[in-house]
Order: sequence, then structure tokens, then C-alpha cells
Amino acid sequence: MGDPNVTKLKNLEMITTADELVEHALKEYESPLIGYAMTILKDLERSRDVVQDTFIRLYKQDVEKVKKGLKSWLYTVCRNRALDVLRKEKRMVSVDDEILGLEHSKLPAPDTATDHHERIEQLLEILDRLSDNQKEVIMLKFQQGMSYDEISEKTGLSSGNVGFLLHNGLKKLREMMPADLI
Amino acid sequence: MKNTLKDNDPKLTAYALGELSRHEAAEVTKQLKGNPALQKEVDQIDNLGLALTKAFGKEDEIKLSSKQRAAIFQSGRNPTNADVISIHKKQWLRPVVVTLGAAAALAVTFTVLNNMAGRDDLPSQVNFQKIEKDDMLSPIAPNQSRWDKTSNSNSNSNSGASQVGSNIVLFDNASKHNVETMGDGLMHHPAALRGEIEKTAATQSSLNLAELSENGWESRADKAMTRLPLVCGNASWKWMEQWIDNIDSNSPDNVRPSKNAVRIDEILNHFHYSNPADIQVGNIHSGISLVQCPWSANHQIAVVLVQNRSKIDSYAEAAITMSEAVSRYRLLGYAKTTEPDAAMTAPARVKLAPGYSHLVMYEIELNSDVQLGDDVLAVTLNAESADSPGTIASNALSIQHSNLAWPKAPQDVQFSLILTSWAQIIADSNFDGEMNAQKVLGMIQYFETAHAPSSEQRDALSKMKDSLSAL
Repeated sequence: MGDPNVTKLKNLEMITTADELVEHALKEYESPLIGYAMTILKDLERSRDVVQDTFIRLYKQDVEKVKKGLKSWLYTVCRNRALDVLRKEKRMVSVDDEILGLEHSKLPAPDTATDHHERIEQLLEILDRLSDNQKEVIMLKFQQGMSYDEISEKTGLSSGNVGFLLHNGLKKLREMMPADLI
Repeated sequence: MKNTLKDNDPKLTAYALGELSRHEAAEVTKQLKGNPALQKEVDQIDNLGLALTKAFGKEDEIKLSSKQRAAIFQSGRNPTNADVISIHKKQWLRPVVVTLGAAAALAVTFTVLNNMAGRDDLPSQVNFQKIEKDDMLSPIAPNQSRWDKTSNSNSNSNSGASQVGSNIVLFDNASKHNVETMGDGLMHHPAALRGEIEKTAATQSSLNLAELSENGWESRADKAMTRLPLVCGNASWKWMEQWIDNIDSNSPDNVRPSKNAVRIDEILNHFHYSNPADIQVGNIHSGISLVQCPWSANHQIAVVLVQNRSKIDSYAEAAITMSEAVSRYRLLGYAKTTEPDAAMTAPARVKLAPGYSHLVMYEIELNSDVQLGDDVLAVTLNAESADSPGTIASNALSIQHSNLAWPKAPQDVQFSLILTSWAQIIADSNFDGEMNAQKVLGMIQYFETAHAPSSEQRDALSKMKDSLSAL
């Protein structure tokens, strides 16, 4: 999927427009920023809203100035926005400046670990009912976090074919998955 | 891109998963607008993608939803402070003619000017009295009883008809207080004023109207920016109804109305529209459609609707900027008059009452090398900020070339295009392209089949069909 004539995302040094900068920033930092906002807000939807707002603010910046310290700018703005949300909700938390480098603890609580395991089992059982190709691209996309192009490179399928398989596979999944798994 | 997406298109999944390029995503975003079924499909894919990501324990891979990504890139189409089109620039000084056809003997023509004339003041600082003096507005004494709902209806019975001349008086001179100009009326209470105009027009049995000339083509290179008119008269449709009721197909002299009575701006704005809103500033919304011109396949029609959907009065002004993709454009309606003493000034900034709306059309000729997805025009809307009363907020939106066929446009946009096509036929206007009575009848037939017209639309369509049958 995707127009073969579309220019691939440029390196940061070559970026000159706000559109290119935001596109680059989304590709590199979208998920990490959501994860970072979650460490402050502990809530996925609010975190996504804060990250959306961060990228909207990125549009208003001078491209040449901000791209030199893009990561730092993004995390700083995201942090400030998340703290604004907390203040508005009067949920003040003490935030250490070093949180910039901290990661989530990767150890889940025991009960959620069990629940998670069961959900995976349930999901894999449903995925097994798809065709091999459909299952493979869905796993590469959502378990490995690959893009269409990366999946295409790994599997040897065309990008368009990857999109087609994903689309049909997800459609079938929607029909088969129980509501509580979605 | 035409509206071609179906709910089973893999492009929707790619869009939901953030796999489309920025331009492709923008095209899909456009098609999702006003298509709740497609949007629901995308939302479901979004939700499933999120569920799968969580189920695989990949919370660190969670992304924004497709709506959030669309909002980010949409925000990039709104100008930054450095890019904001200054409403004070002289390029906005293009005059727009507003013709009020209520007077019995004369068509009063107003010219909407950017009264800033090179000044950098904010609109709120304009001294309206000074403008009135500079442009020799004729003062009008409104009949208090007509503005006051509790007034005695007999109070104006002995006033007699207003003398019509260059000093156009719409209302009986029953009060020496609260004298205000036509410009005041247009600026501060256009809905009420237009209501009075319509009532007056309905009582006129003979018309002696000023000669009108339609707006010509403007070169984009000469005039890229133009102010959007937010007021017009409200007599023309009433006159059309009177003419249609008296059509005698056996009398060749009566198969068409007086050309000077056919005012596209007034006809369009006689009706109510509820187009989807694309941008909002304070209490004011604006919806913009760019559609293939029904009478010229090589042209596009920009249909801009500005409306107050709130319950609060709000002042607003708007402008259009044509991009380099545009070769030339013309404003439909707002015909000029050659009457030397009829030129008056109406304010460019208008108070929109709750429910007030105004629809404007431009015919646009694009350059031959324009591609689908190229920016064609931008609409900038200034209005009172809802958060900070007394201050002005601004928003803007760029519209891309999608070559949307007119039957794919929103229902109310289609209706407005039928009205315009019809008006040009019955007035026997000179316009680029091919349109005739049969084609307009075909448009009406399509509309009646494809939609559930409102009672207002049904009534108008019936009258239009009657009038075209006589041609």
C-alpha cells in the first residue's frame, strides 16, 4: 500500500518543511511519547490526547530551530502538557526531572500477567483460523510492530499485497473476536 | 481524488494504521468527512488495532488513532501567526457589490469594501460614523414598530409609501430616534433587515430595476485575496415566485423574468442550508465544498457557507485566498450596478444572529497543470472569540482539488448548484460553458431521486421546473 512515487521520509538534516518534520517526528516518537505520557498520566486516552497536542504544537515551531533538539523538545512539551492535565484535574504528582530517562517497569502484577497470558492464548487461537499469510502479516504488524514496508521486505510480498492481507485478515478477526477481547 | 472509497477498501486499514503518506491520508480524511459509515469502519479498525497491540503486550508500540493523526495534519493547514493572512492588507480591498432590491423604483446597490484602506487597525476599532460620512451613506429612519415585536401594528398605517430615490428609505419614518444607516442595518442586524426587504419585495407588482452587470473574471495573479461577502438582499426569490405564478407560455415576452431581477446571491441566500462545518471560530462555523462546475467541466465551484449555529450573536468576517493553482475566478451574484448614486458602503464585518447563515459561490478556473490534492484555496474566518469576549480569533482552512462531481457533493451544496444553474438559464446569462433548461431539469430529477428534499427545497424545485417548462 502506498504510492511508489511518494518520496520516502527524509533524514532529519534534509527536512525543511513543517509537514516533513511532523511526519518524521510521528514516525520516530509517536509510540515512545505515548508511553512516556502514560508514566505521568497513567491513562492511555489522556496520554494520546497529550501527544496529539504535542505534535500540533510542533507545527507552530521554526523548523530549523527545533529540529536540532527535536527529541528534547518533544519530551519537554509532552511532559508540560501532561502536567497541565494533572493540574487541571487536581491530581498533583511529584515528577522527577530524571523521569525523562526512566522506563516503565516491565514486570506486570501477577493477576494481570495471568489475564494477559490468557488473552494471548485466546487471540492466537483465533488467529490460527486465518490463512497463513494473513496470520503472518498480522503478527508482524502488531506483535513485532513492523510497518507495511518492513513486512514487505521480510516476507517478500509487495507492500500492496501486505495491505490487502492485513485488511482482509483484520476484517475476519473482527467477525471472530469476542467483544471483550476488543 | 473522487469519492471512491468503499467500506471494504484496504486503503481504510492502511489509513487507520498510519501507513498512508501524508497526502494520501489527507485525501482519505476528506472522504471520511460527511460519511459516517466509512468513519465507523475506520474507528472499528482503529479499535481492533489497539486491542491487538495491547493483547500482544506491546503497549510501547501504541500509536495515535487515525482521527488524532488527521487532526495533527489538519492543524498544519491552519496558518501560524507568521502566516496568518492579514485582513488589513490591501489585497482584501476588492469591492463586492451587494444589491438590495426592496425599493419599488430603484435597486439599491451596496458596495462592500474593506474600509481599512491601508490602515493596520483591528476591525473593532473602525469608526463606522467616519465611514458613513466618507461614503455618503443615506441615513434611514427605521420604523421602531417594526423592530419592536410588541408594537401596535396600526402605528405605521398612515405613514404611506416611502419616497424612493437616491435616498432609499425602507422603513416608514415613524421615529426620530435611533436613526441608522442601511450599513448599520446590514452590519448589526442583517437577518431582520433582509426580512423587511423580503416583505417589501413581495408587495411590489411592477419593477423598475437598475441595470445590473455580473462580475467578470478576476486574475489570480492580480487579486489572490478577496473578502467574502456576508450579506445580501432578499428580494429576488420573491420576484421569481411572482413571475413564475404569472408565466404565460403563450406570451413570448413573459417566459423569462426581468434579467435585473435575477440575483443569484439573493436567490441562494433565501434558502436554509446545513452543510457540514469544516472550521469554527467562536460561535461561527464555515463549511467549504469544491465541486466540478455543472455548466463547465473544466471549472470548479467553491461553495462557502458561513453560519452561526450558536444561540449568541457574533460578529464575523471572512476572506478567500486563491492559490497558485488558480488561473482566474469570479464571484457568482453580487452583480454591480451602473446607477451613479446607488453605491453605498456596507460593513465587511457583520453580526450574525443565531441561525443566520450566508452562502457564497465562486467559479474557478484552474491552471492546466494542477494535480489532484493540490491546494486550491484557503478560507480564513475571523470572529469573536468564545473564550475571550471582545477579542477576535481566527481560523483558516485550505481546500484541495479533488474534482468532486457535483452529484457527490453534500445535498445542500447540490441544491445550491441547481439554483445557480437555473438562475443563469432563466436570466439568459452569458457564462462560459454549456447549460440549458433540459440539463437543469435533469439535475433536478437526479436530486429528487437521490435525496429526500426538505419542504422548502421541494417547493423551490417545483417552481423551477414550472419555469423551465415554459422556455
